[in-house]
Amino acid sequence: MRPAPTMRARLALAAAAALALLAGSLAAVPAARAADVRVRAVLEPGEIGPGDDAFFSIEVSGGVFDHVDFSPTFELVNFEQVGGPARSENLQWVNGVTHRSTKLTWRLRAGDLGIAAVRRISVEVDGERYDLPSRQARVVAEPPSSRRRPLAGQPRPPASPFPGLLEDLWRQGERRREAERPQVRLIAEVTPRSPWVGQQVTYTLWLYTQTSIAQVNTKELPEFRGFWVEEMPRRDDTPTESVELDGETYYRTPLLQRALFALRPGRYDVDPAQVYLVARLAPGNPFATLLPRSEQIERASQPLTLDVRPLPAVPPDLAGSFHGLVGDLSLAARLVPSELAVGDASTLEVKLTGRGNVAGLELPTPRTPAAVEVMRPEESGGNQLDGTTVRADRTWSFPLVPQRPGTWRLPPLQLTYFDPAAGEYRLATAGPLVLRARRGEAQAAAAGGPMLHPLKNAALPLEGAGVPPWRTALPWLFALPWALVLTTVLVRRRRRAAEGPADAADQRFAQRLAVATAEHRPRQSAIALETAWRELLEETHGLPRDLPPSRWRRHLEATGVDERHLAELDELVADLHYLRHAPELSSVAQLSGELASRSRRLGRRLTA
Amino acid sequence: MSGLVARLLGDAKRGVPAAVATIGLLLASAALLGAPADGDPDEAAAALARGNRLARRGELDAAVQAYGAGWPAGGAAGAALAYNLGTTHHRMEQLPQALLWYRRAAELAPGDPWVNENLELARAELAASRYPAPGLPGRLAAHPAAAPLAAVLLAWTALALWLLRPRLLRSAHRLPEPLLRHAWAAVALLSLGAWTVAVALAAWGPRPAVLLDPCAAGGGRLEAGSEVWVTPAGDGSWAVPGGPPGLVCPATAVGAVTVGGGR
Repeated sequence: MRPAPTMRARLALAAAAALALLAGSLAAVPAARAADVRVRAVLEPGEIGPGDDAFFSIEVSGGVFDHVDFSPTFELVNFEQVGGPARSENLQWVNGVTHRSTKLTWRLRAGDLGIAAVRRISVEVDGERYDLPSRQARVVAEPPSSRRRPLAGQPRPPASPFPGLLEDLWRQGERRREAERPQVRLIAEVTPRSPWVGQQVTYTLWLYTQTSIAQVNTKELPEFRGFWVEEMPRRDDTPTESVELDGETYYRTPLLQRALFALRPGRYDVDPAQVYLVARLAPGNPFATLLPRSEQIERASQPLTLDVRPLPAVPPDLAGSFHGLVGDLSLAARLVPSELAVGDASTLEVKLTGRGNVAGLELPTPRTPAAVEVMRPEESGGNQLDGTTVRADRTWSFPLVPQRPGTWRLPPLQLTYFDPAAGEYRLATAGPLVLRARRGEAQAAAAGGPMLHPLKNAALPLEGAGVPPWRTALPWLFALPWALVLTTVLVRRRRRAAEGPADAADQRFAQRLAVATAEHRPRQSAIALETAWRELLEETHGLPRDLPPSRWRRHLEATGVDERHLAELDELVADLHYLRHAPELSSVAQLSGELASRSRRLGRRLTA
Repeated sequence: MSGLVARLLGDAKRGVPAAVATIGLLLASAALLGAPADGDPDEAAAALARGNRLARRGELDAAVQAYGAGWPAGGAAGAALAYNLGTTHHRMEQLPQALLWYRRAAELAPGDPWVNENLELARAELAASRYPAPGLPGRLAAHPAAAPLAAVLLAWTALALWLLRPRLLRSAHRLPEPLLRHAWAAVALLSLGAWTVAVALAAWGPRPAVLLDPCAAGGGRLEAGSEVWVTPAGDGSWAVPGGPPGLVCPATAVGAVTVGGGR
């Protein structure tokens, strides 16, 4: 029998109120953190046989919601540890108060008959030490079998405790209890179902209910092996939704959310989550509303399977800057300060933001010029939750110390990441940046180096300053000889043009010498040379035309010709005589040419 | 050559215009190779005083403008203007500009210790690259007085040979007469060649410059403050023959050290 619609609506309102209360109580966790921590040690069973196993557990519980971390120490007497510790966590919500407990359990094997004990139990929780009394068990030859507990989850078939006539009444009661049984379901979801390696997968454990829930205890949660897990705490504004499921109206709220990042590709099974719930029974009669009853029920979610895809091959040009980042990221960098003195430190802040998991990312040391030393970075930030999205907000601060003055260009910083939405690799770039390092005054003073000289107040002439005067005079010095040559040539030409005959005599003399040189017969060559001389001396020195060469000297002496020229003329006349009487067949070309050359030079001197 | 000159000058009517034309050509090229204009020394001194007043008040931008109003200038005033411009830019952390003006000041006052020390300080702080003069033209351009000086010495040698030619013809019997007759013309040709090289280098050859902005093209890149040699590449841009291959920088990125080129 199902509740009537009006009753269902009232139940739904009650469930919503309960879930809202649950959400509110979970949100009130920080206030509950201050509650006392309870530490408990349990050794079960109290009597065991030799070689049988006992279980020793230490449970830390209290009003804490975050992960509890503790480290126990103890000594074993007549026990041997054969397993553990196994860790289990339990989250309880009781009357608006959240309790979380963590339990470590060891499997101990009993030794000889007598007493087996766990002594000197000490637990350190958040820096505070708790000493617990010893726990012991008796090792007996025949341990009581009745103390063996049934296996967890083993079904207990209902049986009528009243066989016979009361059987019908029992069956009716069973049917009524079935009708009153609360409609509560636990459903796990993951999105997406086929993620890439490193891509965020959101795991949500939904509680669907049509009745009010008074208490939720976790029995077992998935371990998410093969994933990096980021916990998502419940928020104040976690909504309670009204949803349709299999034709029924439920109110649902997320009990648990995790962000999962697959570490490797492959197929992964997510175990079912199991919780204990204390739910109000749906009242089957009007009087039941006066005395509401509750029942502890157990629910488990369905198992899930994730198919994690491997990342595609990294393009070769991006392989060097890919460090496994997956998401949608951006990179920013700045230098603080960007100008400083040598020896001072600037900070290169590299900030990585966006969607994705940056936990564990080791940023490679930025490349800098050799003159800029890079120190180990300080890291801050990490993964942050934005709703159900894990966002990266991580900063690396690299101290940079320039070793010498200069303007140093830091090449762009590059990080390659895989964008799962686009299914391709992308490059996040920041920079380039410029670091200006000036020489520090202290450093300059210590090094004895030059400081910046001040302005000059006036243009005072300095020794050695300015362009040397000879440089400014170079064009004039170059032009002057050319001008002199041109002027001199012009003047000479003008003078010779005025003198006329001397030039004509020279030209005729030169022409006759050329004719004599061209003559290959010695006698004719000598005659031509003698004739050339005779005509020249006749024009320039008044030599009589029929005067023999042997008497030229006496005539020229009378005209005041230099003795050196006369001596040379005597030699020339003698050579001409030799040429005139040389054999006809002898080769006199060389002698003839030499005589012409000497004649040309002597004639120039005589007419100069 | 001597024959040509003789033929040209043989006729006085043609010789005089030819001589005038030759001398005019030489003077024009001399102007190209001459020292930079000194400008008005009074104006340079006034600009120096105005700039100094503004710099003392800390108005460095206005001081740069005031100094610049007196530029170009030569001599001690120009050197002081360039030095103060360099120092002001240095104070403003505009190191490429400071380097350029220190270089200009060093051109005008090579022995000034303040100029050289501030120049070295700017170089150390910039730590930018310095590129050597490229090839033989670069080496010649690095010593701008070498080619004109050689031309002058050769011209005077040619003049001496020409004047002494008759005496040499009379006395130096062992040397061939054609050599004695034409030696002066050969030396004169060498002189003209050296002068032509000097003029060509001044017009189209490499010249020192400082990059005021980064210059990148064709995969090559030079940082601001790089000391390079540039040659005109047309359209007002400058090629950097000693830098990355094919690199051409816009005129706005290049500051020529010698007055008259770049910005």
